[in-house]
Amino acid sequence: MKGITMQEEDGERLILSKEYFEKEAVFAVASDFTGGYYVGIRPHGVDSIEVTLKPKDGAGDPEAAREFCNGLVEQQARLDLQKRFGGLREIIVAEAFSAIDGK
Amino acid sequence: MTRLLPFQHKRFPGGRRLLVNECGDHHFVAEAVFELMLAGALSEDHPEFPDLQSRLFVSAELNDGFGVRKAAAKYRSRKAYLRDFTSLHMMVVTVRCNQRCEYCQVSCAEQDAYRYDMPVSTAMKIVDLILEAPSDSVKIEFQGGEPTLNWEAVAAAVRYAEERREKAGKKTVDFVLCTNLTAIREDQLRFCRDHGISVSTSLDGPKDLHDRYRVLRSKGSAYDLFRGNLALAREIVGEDRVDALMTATAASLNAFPEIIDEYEELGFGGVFIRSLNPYGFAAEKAAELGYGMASFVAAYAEAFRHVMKVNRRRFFPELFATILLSRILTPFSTGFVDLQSPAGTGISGAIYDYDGSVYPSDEARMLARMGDAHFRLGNVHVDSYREIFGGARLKDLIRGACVETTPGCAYCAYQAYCGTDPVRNYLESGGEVRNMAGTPFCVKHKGIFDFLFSFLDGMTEEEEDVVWSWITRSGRVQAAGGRPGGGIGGRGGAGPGRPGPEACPPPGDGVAGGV
Repeated sequence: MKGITMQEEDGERLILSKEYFEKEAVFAVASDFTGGYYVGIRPHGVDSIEVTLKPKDGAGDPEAAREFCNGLVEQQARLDLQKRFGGLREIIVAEAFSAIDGK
Repeated sequence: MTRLLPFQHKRFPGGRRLLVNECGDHHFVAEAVFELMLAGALSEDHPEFPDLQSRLFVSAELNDGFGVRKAAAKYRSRKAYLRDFTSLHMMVVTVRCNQRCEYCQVSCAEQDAYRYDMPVSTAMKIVDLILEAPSDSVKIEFQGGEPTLNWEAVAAAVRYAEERREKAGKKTVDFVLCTNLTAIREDQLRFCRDHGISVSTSLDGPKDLHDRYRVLRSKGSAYDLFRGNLALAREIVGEDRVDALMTATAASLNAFPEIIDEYEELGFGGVFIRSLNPYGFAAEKAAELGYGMASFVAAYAEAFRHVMKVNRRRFFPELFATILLSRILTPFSTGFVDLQSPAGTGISGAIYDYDGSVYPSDEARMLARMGDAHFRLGNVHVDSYREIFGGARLKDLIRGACVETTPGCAYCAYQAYCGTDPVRNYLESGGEVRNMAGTPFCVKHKGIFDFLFSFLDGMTEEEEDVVWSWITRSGRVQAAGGRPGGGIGGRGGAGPGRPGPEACPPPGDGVAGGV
């Protein structure tokens, strides 16, 4: 199954496989696009998510869907790494701000 | 089995991947190495492993307590500015000004509008409040308008702070006078000399550029007056006690090399390339004065290269790059109020208006002048230190002002070096927290970080020596024998929050300057 299916009828429309992309990654990238686009996110069957991008100014960037896909791949990689770090980030920050004497 | 420690990353041209970890260490690897890390397949035998391990990106142990403690210690050092709670205090002793600069972010008042002068009693009340701050050392900046027009308040505040300093348990109280130098008198300069007050002023470039938007109410050339009084100030206060900042308008973008040459020619020790902020008169004249941040970044890169050329013959740092490079190349805290996380608003610096109202930043005060007192923390005449600096308003503001939790920043590779500005967010979007991706603030800082990291990845040995000389502020580093690691510990680097001494009030990035 493909991770991303791009359809360009009816504006920019992406069908994303849940097998490859998590909700958090989709929302993180979608959020970055909200400045220039109306972003729609809805379920597409059981295994997929549909994302639509409609430019606010009417024209939009012809590469927007591709940029969205690249952003998604990067974001999912970050999430995968995040899982590998486990809770280390929180432990480091907690240790950094703990009292010197450990109390 | 190796373990990855937390880091952010960014793709660079040429198949390079920048890694930056929690404590601000960075390392470039080839994409192929990054892929191995991503797949959990980087072995201890890999040639990159020792570098990645020493910089705390990977660990040879699954439960590396030592690595975590080391990372935590570095993180703690990097955030050390948080210990100096509100050490920079700016007093607006008057809103009157003898100039009417086109980009003035404080929308100054007429020279004879005396109702905008801070009464001496208010100045003393403010000093009392400042001396309640928990920091051992505090810095008081006198701003305006043009502060020399209400000298009575400046002199009273200085004398009173000196008198109260020891009893208040402060090791030092530093003073900075932010003046355009075009109305200053000899007796005022002698007072500065006698009380150790640094002078911070503004210079936008050569005469035509300086006079273009820095306008005297009395007509004539502000530049000519400035030049004459600059010489006098240096003679009386001391060469090393007078510094200047520039503000870049659209007219400056193509003239950065000339501006830098002017700074060098006039004997300044460096230059701070500073962009315009969207407040006050600058907001009203945005179409004429403003520019896109991508244009600023391109011009900044050119300016940086020009400064590098100047450094072939003398020590002459670009001060914004110095702050950022200090953050990138050393583990020490640089505490630059305008670019830190949590934001420096209120917890590193605060500003007191002529009527005793307290704001977390000059930009917040400017908003109040524009009719929106959203960020007002209180007033020294009716609120206590605890109510102003320990109150819900400031806590709410700071709670949301962390890049680690800001959309668009939370996964940014430059998170360890960057910051946020809730006041600017509010001005531009109506909310203190917003998605920063694509905002002018983000475009500017991300663009400059991109440029600096590309520079670092390909710099020559000579350029590396220059960079370290800026960071250590001690002239050229002798290349062999390693890189000096010290020199900017604690509040050091660019000073306690702002490149000091600073001018005021800040029409630029809030760094300072623009009197």
